[in-house]
Amino acid sequence: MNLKKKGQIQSGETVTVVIILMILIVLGIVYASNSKIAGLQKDNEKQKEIDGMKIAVLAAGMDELKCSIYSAKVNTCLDLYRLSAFSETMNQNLYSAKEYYFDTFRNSKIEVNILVNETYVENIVLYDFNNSENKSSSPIFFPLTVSDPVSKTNYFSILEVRTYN
Amino acid sequence: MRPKKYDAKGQLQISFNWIFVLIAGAVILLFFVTSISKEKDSSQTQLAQKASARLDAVFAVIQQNPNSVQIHDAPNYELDFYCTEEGHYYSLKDSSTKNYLENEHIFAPETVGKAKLISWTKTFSAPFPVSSILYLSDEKNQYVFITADSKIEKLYEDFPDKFSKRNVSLSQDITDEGFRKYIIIVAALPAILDGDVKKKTRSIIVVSSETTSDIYGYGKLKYYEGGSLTSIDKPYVGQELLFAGIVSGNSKLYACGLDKVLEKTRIVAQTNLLRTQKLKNEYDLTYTGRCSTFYGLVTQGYVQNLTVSAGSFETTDSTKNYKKFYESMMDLQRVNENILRSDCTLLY
Repeated sequence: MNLKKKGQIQSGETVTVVIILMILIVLGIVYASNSKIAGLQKDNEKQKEIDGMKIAVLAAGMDELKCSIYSAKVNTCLDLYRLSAFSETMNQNLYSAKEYYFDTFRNSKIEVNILVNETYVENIVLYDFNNSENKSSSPIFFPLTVSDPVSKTNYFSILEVRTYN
Repeated sequence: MRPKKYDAKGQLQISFNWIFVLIAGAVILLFFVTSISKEKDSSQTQLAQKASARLDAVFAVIQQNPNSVQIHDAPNYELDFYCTEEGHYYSLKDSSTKNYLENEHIFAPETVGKAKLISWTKTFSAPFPVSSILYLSDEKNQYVFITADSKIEKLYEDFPDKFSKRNVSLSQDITDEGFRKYIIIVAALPAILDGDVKKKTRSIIVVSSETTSDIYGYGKLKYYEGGSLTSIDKPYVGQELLFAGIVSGNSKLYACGLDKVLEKTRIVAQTNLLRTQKLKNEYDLTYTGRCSTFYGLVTQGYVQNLTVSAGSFETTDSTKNYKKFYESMMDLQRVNENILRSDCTLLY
């Protein structure tokens, strides 16, 4: 009877050890996966920011939007009439322009805010495409100069990029 | 009886411990085996991603430095460039991961890597700026110019020194110096081209310029690849496309890049057409009619001619859309010069 009890106690101990070990393993897995998810979310946010910055640099450096070689005296100068014409080409999707630029800009919105004077800001949407369910990222701002070649006036402007990837 | 029962219980407990140890051991072993195999699988992908990231970084740096030639450290891998029905892409040698060059205008030979990379950028204009073209090669691809013809001599002089380039007077002077590939640029197909350079490692490009005074006008690049005696002809217009065809050293890769450049040209031409219309409207309202006349020339035909000819660049000899493309470019260039003299807003 005594031995039987001792044996039962020993079996109970082993089972307890196994259960505790299982609990520890499960806790370890949960902790590891949680920290991995948190890391991935952080990476995802960082990637969104990098993507936004990349798009901003690419958009600001587009040869087809740059000021005339004779008039450009400043870095990152975009031509007001080119911006407006590009926006129209995109809106009307002429020559499948949207599909063409999708490979570069993916799901994002690119707009230029031109500070015409203290009270008026002209907004030109260059590209806006989102075929995902994702919310937009925080905007990335990129300063540049927009030049009106007719009146020969330069405006301080902000390129704003939001990504949906 | 009691000791027997006791033995049985003890045996049961010992076996339970062993079973537990076995199961736990197996689980741990399985975990490590799975991790290692996953690690092995991902290492190849990681290398491909690394190569892609590095090339992306090269592209980004280059795009910020237009019209520059740069030498980059030798990567410890080789990249193969392809142009197939699937599209234009590159991949690590012996890797199945494909990195598509969807609208990057890159002209490179079939293989680069395990040698210092050489990059060169130029802005392709038609005549308004269209895109930054990237020429990518390495020290193992040699460009041999047979400079018996003055036009080829001009090409040799204008081709950056940082590329592995060489000039020879006669085709017989071409010797195998251990390069991966020899891209031979010549004015007419040489009668004798035996030498040391094996047929499979060479590509002959006959530059057939159709503008007498200027090799950079327009014409055809005749590719004789892999020892073939029949050529594959591809058109070129301007210096940027001519060098694109030379750096690629491969008709398919050149054609792939050319299609993308022309696709973008059509979009940019459209944007410039709309811009000119806006300028015309503005000048019609507020300024003298002289400027409007220039803009009218552009909106009523010049840009459309350019767009149409860019749409079907590679056609039969009788159509010669590349010639029409060149002529439209020249028309636009002339109008822009007149606009400059008349103090109106420039087209580009």
